[in-house]
Amino acid sequence: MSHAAEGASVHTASSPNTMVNFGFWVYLMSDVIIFSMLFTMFVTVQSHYNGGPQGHQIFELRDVFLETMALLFSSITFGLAMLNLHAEKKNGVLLWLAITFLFGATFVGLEVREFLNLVHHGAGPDTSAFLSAFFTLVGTHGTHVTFGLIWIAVMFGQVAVKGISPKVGSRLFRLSLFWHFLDIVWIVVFSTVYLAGVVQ
Amino acid sequence: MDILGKLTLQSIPYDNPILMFAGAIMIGTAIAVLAGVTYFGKWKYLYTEWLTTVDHKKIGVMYLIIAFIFLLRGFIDALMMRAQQAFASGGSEGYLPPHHFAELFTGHGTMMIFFMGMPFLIGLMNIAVPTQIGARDVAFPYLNAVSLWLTASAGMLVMASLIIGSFSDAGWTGYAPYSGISANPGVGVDYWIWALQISGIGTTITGINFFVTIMRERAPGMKFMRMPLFTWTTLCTNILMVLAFPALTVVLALLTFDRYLGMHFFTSDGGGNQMMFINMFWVWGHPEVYILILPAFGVFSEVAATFSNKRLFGYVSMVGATMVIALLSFTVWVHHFFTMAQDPLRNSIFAIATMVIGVPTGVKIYDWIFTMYRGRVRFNLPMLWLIGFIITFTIGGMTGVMLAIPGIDFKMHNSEFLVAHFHNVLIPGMLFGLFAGYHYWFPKAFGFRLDEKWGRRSFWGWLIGFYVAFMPLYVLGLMGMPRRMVSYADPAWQPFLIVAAFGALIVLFGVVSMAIQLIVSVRNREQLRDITGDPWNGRTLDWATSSPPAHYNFAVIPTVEDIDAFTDMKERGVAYRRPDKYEDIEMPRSTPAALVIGALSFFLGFALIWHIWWLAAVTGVGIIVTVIVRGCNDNTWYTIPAEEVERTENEWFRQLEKAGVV
Amino acid sequence: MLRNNLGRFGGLISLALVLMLSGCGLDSLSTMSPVGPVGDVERDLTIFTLLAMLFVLIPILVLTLGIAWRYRASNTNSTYTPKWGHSWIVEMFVWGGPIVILVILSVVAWISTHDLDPYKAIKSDAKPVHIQAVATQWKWIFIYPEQGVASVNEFAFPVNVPLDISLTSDNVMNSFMIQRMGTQIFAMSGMQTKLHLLSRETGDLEGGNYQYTGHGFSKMRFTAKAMTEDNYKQWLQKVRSQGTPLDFSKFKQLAKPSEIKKPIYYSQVTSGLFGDIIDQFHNSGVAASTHEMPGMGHDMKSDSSDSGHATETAAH
Repeated sequence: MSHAAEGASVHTASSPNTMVNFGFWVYLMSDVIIFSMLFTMFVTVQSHYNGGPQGHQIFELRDVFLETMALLFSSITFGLAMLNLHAEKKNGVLLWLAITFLFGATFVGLEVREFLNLVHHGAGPDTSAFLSAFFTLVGTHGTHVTFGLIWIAVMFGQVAVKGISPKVGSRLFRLSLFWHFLDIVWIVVFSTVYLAGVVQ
Repeated sequence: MDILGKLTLQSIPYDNPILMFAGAIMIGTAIAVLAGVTYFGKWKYLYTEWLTTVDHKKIGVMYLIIAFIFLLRGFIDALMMRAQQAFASGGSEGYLPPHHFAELFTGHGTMMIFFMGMPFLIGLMNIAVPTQIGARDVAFPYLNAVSLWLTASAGMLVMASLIIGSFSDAGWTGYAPYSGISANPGVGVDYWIWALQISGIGTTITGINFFVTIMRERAPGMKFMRMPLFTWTTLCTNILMVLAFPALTVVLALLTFDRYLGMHFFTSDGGGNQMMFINMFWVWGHPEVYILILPAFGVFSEVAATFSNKRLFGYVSMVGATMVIALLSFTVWVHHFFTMAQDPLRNSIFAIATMVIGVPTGVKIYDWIFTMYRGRVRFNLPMLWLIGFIITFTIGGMTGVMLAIPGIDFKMHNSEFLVAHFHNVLIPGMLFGLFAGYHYWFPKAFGFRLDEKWGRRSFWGWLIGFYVAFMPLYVLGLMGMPRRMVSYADPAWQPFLIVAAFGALIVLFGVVSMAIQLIVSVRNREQLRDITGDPWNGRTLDWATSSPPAHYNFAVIPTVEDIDAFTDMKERGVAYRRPDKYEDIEMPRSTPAALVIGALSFFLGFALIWHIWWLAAVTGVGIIVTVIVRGCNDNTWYTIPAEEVERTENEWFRQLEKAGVV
Repeated sequence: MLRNNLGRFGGLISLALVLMLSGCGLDSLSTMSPVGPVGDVERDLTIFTLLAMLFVLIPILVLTLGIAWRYRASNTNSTYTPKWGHSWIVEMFVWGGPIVILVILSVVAWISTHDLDPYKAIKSDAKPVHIQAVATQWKWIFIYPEQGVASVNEFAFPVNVPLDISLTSDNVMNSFMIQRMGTQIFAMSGMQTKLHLLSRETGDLEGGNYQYTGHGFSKMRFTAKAMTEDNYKQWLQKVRSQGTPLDFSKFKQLAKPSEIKKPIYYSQVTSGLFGDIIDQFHNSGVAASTHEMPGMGHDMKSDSSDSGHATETAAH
């Protein structure tokens, strides 16, 4: 994309869009640290049940499977949105962004339902270190997805109003990075928290 | 209705005359400043030129202002602690109640690290790095302003704790479970948490920003192995910031969940693991030590070469040593708690890893010494700080190696010996470096040099005061005195503490001299004027611009052909070359968004500390909305026309001609 | 082996230092005038490291001041080589020197750390005395499980007998140390840590908490009374005759935040009190999970005497 896209001077050593993308990568690296610290904490206390329930007693694998599917499909639909972006098909972008949003919202909805269920059954985050770490790790990911949803909504608005400009495209590209990143994190969450929890 | 959450009129410590006095001074100063701005009709200037600016040079200056304010506050805390311990012996309880004393040592550590050290070094980075690499600004100027205002708002929270509620008494490290809700139900720890959280996020953003800046914004020809040492250490520091600060974010967040939501991460009960707090805290905390020290090392490298009129000795070694230190800083955190009953295998490994850091550090020291060798050493202020640093820091390094050996740490841990040690590395290693940088780049930032006479007085005050204040603490440590004692029974300790308090007074002389130096320099600014932009016969690109540099730094981006790029240009006679034709320059626009985010963050933090949930919700949504609105703005750059560039440059060249440089 | 060598070396040096300081010797430095084997090694280690580091410090001081002065700008007689920035010989020296010292100190650190493992029992013919130390806000409670007594802020024990100390805390993190005996260790709630000490001299030794724990922290000191065997027996007798019984509920009363001026004695201690203090933080059913290690402790699988650093629960 052109220099003028972000308006930087032609003397700048590298094009600003790649620079912004590079910066976003670096931000994602710092987010990786956040998640790895949370994983470390979870692994350390994952058997500190404090007399409370254990993973296999509370995890509903069916719902978790649905969540996983929703998120995986949302990644695919986001990919389709990006394909439409490159083809400069505004309506296609809007359509697939909307579908991605619905999948993402489904994921968040299922997660919120799971959390409310647990709290309702006396397995809230204050029950044990295990549940504190569970709610925090899964909840942090869920919060990221929620912010992703807000971002999708904002970008939907930008595409609708501004059309497909280089700037909008560049922002969509970073949003897609973010969205796929959350997908990868979720796969790790799914296997270390839920699968391992049920197998125990 | 508790519309104000936990906040009541009782939250204001009316009964504590010291706090009320300090609060009165603080509020009085703030009112005086605001009144002054109003009286002189400078609000518009302040708003358009400073509060909304995204210019790295002005942001750097504002960071320095924050740093100096907190240097004063942290130093006053230190004086009060020294005074307390000098008197509170053998039955006397001194003049401070234990809780107030605990707030002092917690506040002192927190402020000196987060609100003095960090803003100071980030300020110097802002002032020097973009010009040093031949760039017009940082990679993300608006985020740079966000970082600044997050730091400022976190600092405001610390200030607010002085008169509304109280600050944490859990030490600057806030070890759980003492910082947990059952042992510490007040708002103090919450102030600590949110101040660190907000400033920490600002620092992470700074880390990303400068990392990208240095990776992507260097002038043509500036390969990695041609980067000035300050740029190198800044690069390594920013990598550490990006990798380490998220760990702090997490450990603070988990402690927050323990305190606010009754979770069990670090609690004694519920299956919590208090040892994880210490581990995770120092996973951030040890790299943080090098985040603080590496930039100072970079300053010293610049200073050593410039004031020896000679190429830096062992450039490759210096770069390698910096990288090794940065890498190893993640492998030594356990040495902060050898006494937590790890098995000897783990303790030994971490002990050796710690001592390994001594090797690259030693190399750096020798390289600075050999930079002076066969040079022409000028003893200007930055050079004095360098020599004071080498000698003092080596002593601190020596006691550091001692503490790195578990068998010695077993009896020295948590004693005054430890206090003496980390002041003995941080004061020369960080503060002297920052002071050297302050004197070195002051003319670049403001256009005139700092007064030498008062600068020397300040230097000697700090140096002598340091020895008098901290050498007795080593002895006290050997005598078995624990740190953080509000009073003590053993009369044998008192003489040493009186000497230490006297040392703090000598440092006070240094601090006051530094303030006088600033006033005198401003008054004599015409005699001290830096006309050429190169007052020290500098070697790097930051000295190739006018002082202060034009808004766009370089009308034409220079091409680099040597490590000492500017020296090389001067020698080849290509410095101060006028281009055939000036071009339009695109620069980032000022924006109030960063200021708004900072202000909202302050109120968000305050609301969370006092459980004012509606305010937290409003400000939280406000921040998100601000970010979105700003994110949708496509019009964030503007053009400086070529004619204006030419006018500005002509002005500078007239000065250069007058000075006979061109 | 190291202990002996260091000891001989350290003894020699400390003698020299004492002579040098003429009178104002190491005696006034409590951590440098040990009364037992642990403190001995730690003192010798301190002196050895200090001297080794002087080999680094002194050349740097001399070189810095000497070179800065010799090559001052006003001295135009000195050589000036503005372009000189690299020399393999100097580089070898600046990297090699620190590495040599690093290797020496690493060996010393490795051996001494294993030697000084606080979990390692001290070799002695005498049968060790078991003591359970509990940190509360802001008192130290010493339980003598075999004698069935306890005392607060007074820690009596016979000389030349190894002390096998188990530590825990009733609330926050504390750190236990008697400087002249050496080695401090954290006392943490819901967990047990261990420390082995020995004194060969009688007398009152200063001990205390080194980790900040709140208002009364500065007063959380105690006297360690190293006694002859006979005096120790008399002391036990005194505790039995003057004291009152101690059970868990009385312990919780005592553990409430307070400072005390005089020692308190307890003549009869409910058996298993120490374990109950640890278990108060664990829900029933979890206490069995001793197989897992929080943090970075010893391998719990090993059943040697020094297993279970900072074990989460005291199973018994």
